[in-house]
Amino acid sequence: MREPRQAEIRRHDGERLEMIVDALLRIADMDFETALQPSPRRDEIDAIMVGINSMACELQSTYSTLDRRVSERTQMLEMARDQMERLAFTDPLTQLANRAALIRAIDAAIATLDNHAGAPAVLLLDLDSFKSINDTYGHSMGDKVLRRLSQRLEASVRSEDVIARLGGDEFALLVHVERHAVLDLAQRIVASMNEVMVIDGIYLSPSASLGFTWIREGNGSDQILLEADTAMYVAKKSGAEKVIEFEPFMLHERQQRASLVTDLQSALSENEFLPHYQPLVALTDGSITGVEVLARWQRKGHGLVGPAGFLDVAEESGMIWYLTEYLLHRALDDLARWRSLELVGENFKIHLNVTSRELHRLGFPDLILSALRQHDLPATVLALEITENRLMSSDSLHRYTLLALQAMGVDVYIDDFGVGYSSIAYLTQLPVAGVKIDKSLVDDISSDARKRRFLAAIYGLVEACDLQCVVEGIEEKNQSQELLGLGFATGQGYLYSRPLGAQAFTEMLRSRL
Amino acid sequence: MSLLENPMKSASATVQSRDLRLQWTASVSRARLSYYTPDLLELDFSLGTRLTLPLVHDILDEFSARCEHKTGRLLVYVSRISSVDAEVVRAFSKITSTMRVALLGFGPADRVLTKFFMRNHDPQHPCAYVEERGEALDFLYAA
Repeated sequence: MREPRQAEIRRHDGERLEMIVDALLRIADMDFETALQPSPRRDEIDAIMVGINSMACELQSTYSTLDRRVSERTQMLEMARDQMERLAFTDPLTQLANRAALIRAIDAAIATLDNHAGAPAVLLLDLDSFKSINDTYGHSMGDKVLRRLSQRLEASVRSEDVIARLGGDEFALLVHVERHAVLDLAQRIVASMNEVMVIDGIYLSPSASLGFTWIREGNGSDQILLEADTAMYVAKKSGAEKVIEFEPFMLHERQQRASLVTDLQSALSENEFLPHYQPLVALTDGSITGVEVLARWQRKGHGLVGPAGFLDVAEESGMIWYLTEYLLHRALDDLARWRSLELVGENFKIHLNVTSRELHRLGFPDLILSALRQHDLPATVLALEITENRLMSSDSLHRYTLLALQAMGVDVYIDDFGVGYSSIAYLTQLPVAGVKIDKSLVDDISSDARKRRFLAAIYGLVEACDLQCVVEGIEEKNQSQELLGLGFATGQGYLYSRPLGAQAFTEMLRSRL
Repeated sequence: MSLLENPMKSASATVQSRDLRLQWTASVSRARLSYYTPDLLELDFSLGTRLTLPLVHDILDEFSARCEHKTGRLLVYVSRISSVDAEVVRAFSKITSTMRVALLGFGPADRVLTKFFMRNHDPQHPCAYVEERGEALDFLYAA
């Protein structure tokens, strides 16, 4: 019997409502494929079905879009992270590894060190002449040189070795070679770095110094790099040996040097530096015409230290500037006092040693002028001495400083004349007032006729250039007489006096009155 | 129920107030196209049709193949549509940008369906839901 119409409708409605509930449960489970079939009646229950279908569709589309975007963003972030990691470990100029990458590689090598197999070595090298390339041709050329050299390094080692640029002109390598082969490798690397290169039509001759050490258990990457750097530093200083293997005593010397720098810094503030004075005398009558200022350091625990014990460290560390300034003021102060006590005349000169570093500083002439004014002294009381070698390596900035000093009235003397690069022409070109002939040319002058003739020729040359001349290192009376016979007028040396402290020199001046 | 038995459909020739003549009909998958001159396209569907983007593209391709010009008026019978995909909802406004569109249905289900259908519709483009064919034609030929 056919179901009554109303009952049939209610049953149909109930079935459809069950379908709706079922669909909602599937949607809650993220199953958006659910598709309810509305009836032809298109009534309210059908409206709910149509609405559920539409919303399920929307949700599916939204989630799909969201998943895709999250996936794309994740991929972009991963790519960005990979790129950042590459950048973090890559030197941007040469595309070699950078310091961080090298340290990471060294740490990994330490972790996998096998005492039975050969230990890896770390080689550190830097260029000896890079600064002059930059200064002469500009940083763009310097960059090209670094890139070319990095290619040479890559060609020198295997692909599994690590090559890093640590910054500036410093490179490092982590290599896995047999112990006996590393020295050969290092020498080949230095040789390849020293080969002439042509960039933009310019011939360049870089040269490198290299130090190396072995990775040993118990040493961290910092210690290993310090050892290689110390050996490289020794190679640089040696001049002859450009490849040096690290030895423990080098570290001790480096530490001593570091301690010296620290002591130098406090020495200035604690007035531990003392000017000592060695007189310049007229060879005719022994009268004192001037004085050379020589630095001495009353170092705690070390006694009185001469310039050989600290001067190159002072120069290297940049402290020479402060030391020179300090000595200048002390010497001018003493000179002002001697003049006020009428112990010296108006023409008495203070000779102060300077380095090319000072001449290279734009503010140097101002420093001199300021000190003279402070002590109320004319510029003519001062003469600055710079060695022949350093003056010969001068550039336009040196020349500017020399001209400024000359214009002020300060004399410049070429120190250690006759033993360096001797280009005769420069004597007529440089704005200098005189030369100081090196002691080595004066030794044995009494018994060596050739030396006497040589000195005579120098005298003629200097006089032809209208320059003053002081002969250093006079220790014997007969030397003085020979020099006087050759025409020299002024001398300096132990014959007349050793360098004396201010008080002792003042007494000497008094005794000459 | 076949398309021909759709109680909402009137014979083309009996529309009195407008001179609409049936020019051609075509079937595409679950859709039926009827084109009346001068520019009325009617769309109807099989019962329970899910309106997907591929189906819409098939309809458009069929129309383009038969007509060189675009149509200015579109009448869509929505009563047999069970659901409209989200992509169609998003694309509907762009597809019908040059037309006046009437969506013809009856009952609450069709009102709900049309609400979703026209959710992203640009109000600049004329589109209306009606429940009488006469109303649909009045709307379509109002301008």
